Amino acid sequence: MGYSLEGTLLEVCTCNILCPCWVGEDPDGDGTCDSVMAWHVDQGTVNGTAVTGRTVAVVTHIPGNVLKGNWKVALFVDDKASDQQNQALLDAWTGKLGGPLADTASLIGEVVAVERVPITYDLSEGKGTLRIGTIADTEMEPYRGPTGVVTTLNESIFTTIPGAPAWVAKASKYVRKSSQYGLKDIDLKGHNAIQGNFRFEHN
Amino acid sequence: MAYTLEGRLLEVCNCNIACPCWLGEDPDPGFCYSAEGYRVDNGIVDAVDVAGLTVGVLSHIPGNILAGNHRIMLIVDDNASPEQEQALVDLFTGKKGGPVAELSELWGEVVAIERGRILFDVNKGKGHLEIGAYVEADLAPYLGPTGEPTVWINTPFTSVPGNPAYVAKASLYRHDNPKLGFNLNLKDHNAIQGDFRFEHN
Repeated sequence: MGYSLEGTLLEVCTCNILCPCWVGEDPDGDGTCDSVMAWHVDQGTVNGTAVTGRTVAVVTHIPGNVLKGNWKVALFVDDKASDQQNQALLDAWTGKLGGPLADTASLIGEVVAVERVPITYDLSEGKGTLRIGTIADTEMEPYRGPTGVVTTLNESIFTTIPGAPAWVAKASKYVRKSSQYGLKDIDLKGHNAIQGNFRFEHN
Repeated sequence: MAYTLEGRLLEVCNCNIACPCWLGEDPDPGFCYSAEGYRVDNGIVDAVDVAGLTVGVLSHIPGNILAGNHRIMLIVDDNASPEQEQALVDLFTGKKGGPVAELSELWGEVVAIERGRILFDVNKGKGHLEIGAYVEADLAPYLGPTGEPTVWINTPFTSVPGNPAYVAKASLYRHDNPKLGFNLNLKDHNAIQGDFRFEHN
């Protein structure tokens, strides 16, 4: 009943730059957040099943402060996952295996769908593309300092690897077609995107 | 006509947390009423040593920070000698050229230049700022899970690449400024402390 997972995660949302949720504050705008999040496993196992290279994504409505929970979520596993990997990832991300991922899952109030779809997670240092089936299509570029180095946010409250950066980016494209799940459609430019690192371990 | 300055920079403003101006984006409410303190920890302007002094910049920024037309007041630390005061005023009004002049190019109008008591007791995003009778602010940084302060690194305006800017929240930001035409008494808005290094020969 354990997992050891590391990789990068991406959040694209309706907040302005920079998403206040990353420091535990309320979403800006109308106080709610409609986001797309994805976790790409660079290296990891769940209950002995290797899940390296796999991506899990959620399309979510967060009704207020991120830590207050009651998220409404559609959950997606990338369709390159074998049946065994799919089950292992669902068990981990829905909280059945306990540990830090169960802490995240406890913020979810309602899971409206669980599906396997093609997921493109082509991101490095806040630059790239995330696509979730035909449901979400996003592109982003990071901010940079005067020497060209990517702007980072470090030691935010959600850090799971102390000292590891989160790359602060802007989504030139955030299109979400999710009304079939009761999650509103989005078509935005110039809003928040942040890519970070994660390490989740539980025995 | 040369200067070398390094020290700490604090910005407190009416933006929400993590002021978008630090990334070159528009202020949250579309405009910004800010107070900035530049605390010189080490510095020389021409041959005048200005270490230990603080300059306050009080601003009405009407839109994107880079679009300029800021209306500002400059407040020079009343611990400055007349010579130090002149050096700092010349520097901040752009007469010495270089990076500080690029900053003052964003100013459309310097409404007033005054001497005032400045208290700059801020380190790693935590502390207290007072600028004359105009500004009072208390701030504390956000913290990560291990208790380290939350920081931004390599933002577009950094003058010291690689150094952190501490992302903080002002539990108090009072700014009563009849000359700039506003009076704020805010809780839990943006405060960011970075550092600066300005050099010009």
